[in-house]
Amino acid sequence: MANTLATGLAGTPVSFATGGDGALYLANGTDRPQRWDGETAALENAGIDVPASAGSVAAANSGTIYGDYTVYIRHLDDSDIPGNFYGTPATVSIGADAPKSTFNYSSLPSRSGRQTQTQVWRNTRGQTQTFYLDTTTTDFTASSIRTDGNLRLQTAIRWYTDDGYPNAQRHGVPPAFMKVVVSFRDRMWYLVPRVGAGAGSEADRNRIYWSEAGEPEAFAKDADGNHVNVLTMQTDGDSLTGAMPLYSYLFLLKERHIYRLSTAGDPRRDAGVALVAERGCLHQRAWCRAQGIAYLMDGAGIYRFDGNAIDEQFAAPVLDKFRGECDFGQSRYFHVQYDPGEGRIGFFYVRFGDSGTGAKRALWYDYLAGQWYEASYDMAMFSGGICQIGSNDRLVAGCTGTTSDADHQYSTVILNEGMLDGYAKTLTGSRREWTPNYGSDSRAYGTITAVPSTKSFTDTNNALDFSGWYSAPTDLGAMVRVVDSDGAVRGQAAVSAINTSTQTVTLTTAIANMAVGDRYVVGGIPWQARLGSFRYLPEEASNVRRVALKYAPASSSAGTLCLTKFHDGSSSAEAAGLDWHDNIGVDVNRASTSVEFDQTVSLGTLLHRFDSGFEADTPADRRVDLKLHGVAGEHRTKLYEVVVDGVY
Amino acid sequence: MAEKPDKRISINTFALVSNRGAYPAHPGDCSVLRNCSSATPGQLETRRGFRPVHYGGPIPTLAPAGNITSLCVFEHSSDTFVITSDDGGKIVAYQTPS
Repeated sequence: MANTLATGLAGTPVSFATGGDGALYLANGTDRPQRWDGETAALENAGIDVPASAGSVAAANSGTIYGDYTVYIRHLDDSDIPGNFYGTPATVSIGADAPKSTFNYSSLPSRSGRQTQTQVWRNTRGQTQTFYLDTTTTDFTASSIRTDGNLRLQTAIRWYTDDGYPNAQRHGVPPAFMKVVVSFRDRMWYLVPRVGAGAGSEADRNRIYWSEAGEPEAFAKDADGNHVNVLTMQTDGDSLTGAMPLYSYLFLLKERHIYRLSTAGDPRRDAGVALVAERGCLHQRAWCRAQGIAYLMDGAGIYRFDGNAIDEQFAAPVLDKFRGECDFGQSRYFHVQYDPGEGRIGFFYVRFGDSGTGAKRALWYDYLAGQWYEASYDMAMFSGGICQIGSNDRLVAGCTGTTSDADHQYSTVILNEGMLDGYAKTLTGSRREWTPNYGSDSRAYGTITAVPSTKSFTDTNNALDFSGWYSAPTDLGAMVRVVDSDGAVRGQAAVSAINTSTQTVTLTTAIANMAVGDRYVVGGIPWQARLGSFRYLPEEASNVRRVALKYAPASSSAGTLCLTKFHDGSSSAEAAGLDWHDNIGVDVNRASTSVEFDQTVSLGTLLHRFDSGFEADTPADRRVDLKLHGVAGEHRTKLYEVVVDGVY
Repeated sequence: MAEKPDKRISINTFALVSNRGAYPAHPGDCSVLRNCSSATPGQLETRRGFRPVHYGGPIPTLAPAGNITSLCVFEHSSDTFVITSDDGGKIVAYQTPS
């Protein structure tokens, strides 16, 4: 079930944090911070506004009360969260010669938004430092017959704390110009300003504002209207970009520095700030925590931080690549995500020349194996979070919307879901290892029997009826991958329409050279792996050159598994070689650069020889680079071992 | 003197599979091939699978207008919500199945 909680807010990225009260708080630097308690139909303003007027008080009826009385009022919400008092009190003087018994409160100001009730607080004769709750009402008039003695038995509030800070007036609203909100030590912390007219000042780039303890919406100001819970950091020519709670500290992230903020509980008295690293962070979405380690991106690349020291070495294999191809001009779209189910960290980035808006690439770090690999996506991913789905912690990502990319109507997706991209038969069953429960009439893969145009193909052996699916390929624009008879990818395009009468799939863009006999996988995920460079043994005649793949025999729906060779460091693939057929599953087209291994062969091992035909008198190749590649199918390809013969 | 014909390089992917328990490996997932990338780190490329989050309603009502620039997961009582914010200033809460 989905609910729209708000519209019309600024379109800038939002920062989220859950307060100690269990409510969700949002800040974007433009709108007033918002709050959602999981119950209301819409977001609400964080903080309760001050009443619009003081109301009136009058004394009536003969009694024993006399003196000068000051009355303050404030509004509360339905959870008894208060706002500040109206700044000017209502007053009444009762002469000793005509004591009264009743206070009549009237003209109490109207309430709006979260304000559901109004409190009236009154002093006792002879002092104006402590006020007592006289009455709480949902009406606009009230009366009280409490004497001072009775009033002292009510809830009391001192106007100032012992050390002179606002106490009664500590319920000011959070600053609206801060883009980042975090929760730490039972307080909400706001930082990273939008600077300009009506917003924060230059000095705010170096400031952090925090709430009262246990009161995530309470931001106290002094009599001059200045926040009192604010820390101005040392000037270092750098600006705050975010904040990260880690262990017992709040790490304040700047572009090129990290400071550690510690507090024993009252940061006004005991906040300690220390510079701990000369690295920084791009913005609040450019870090994540995983098992006590923070992973971050700054202008210099990728690193991790354990709270004491930084480590860049783990990213050494990819730093050159990252720095070389990253478009830092688009760094606002970079983000870092923790995927606990897969034991990996994703660093999403924009590469120079990438089309569209947002990050379509990620460098993934497998922290269990200590290895890197890269992924690219058809649509951009802007954000992410960890959500428990089907008893698993899953990474959910926010993606390209419906208006900016007509081909891809994804919005929010679960990563690493099942075997195929972009559609779902059902919501039941295992989600991470999800394999669609195909009916007998429709499959995700097949062989093309006709090609009406470059943007459509027909498979007369597949009903292509996805009408009973939870989400069909046409709903979401699932990508179709078409491979030729050698397993090489012809191209890919999103599904536009499916005609079940003609059994024809129409694509949003053309795939060149698509031909009868080609195979297709709806939602098939292309992959490739470069296995490194191997030097040939010099005596080819006695050192057979071949690659053996050991695999688990699979059904015909396991996708494709192919091998491509490169010689002597060339980026151009070699033709497969001798045109021969060994009848054990590997068909070789001499002219093709792709050799496909048929995983349905029950042997579990397939060989591909690539001897050069004992061409002893010709210049010989020295080195071979191997690449495995394919398109994932409905079922998993299980590859256990790659054996390369005839090489050092 | 000729090299022995059995000299070979073996890239054993099975060890990694074992390290991950019974987790089945496959190229689309690439878990089996992660150790291959140790030879030339960063050379393994893939697209990872995904499917949309769409709980309990037709897709069009859930599709925000713009790019989802911010997302968080919010737990309240026994409910879990995916909260999204798009670049059109729209905030949507998806309640995940319990």
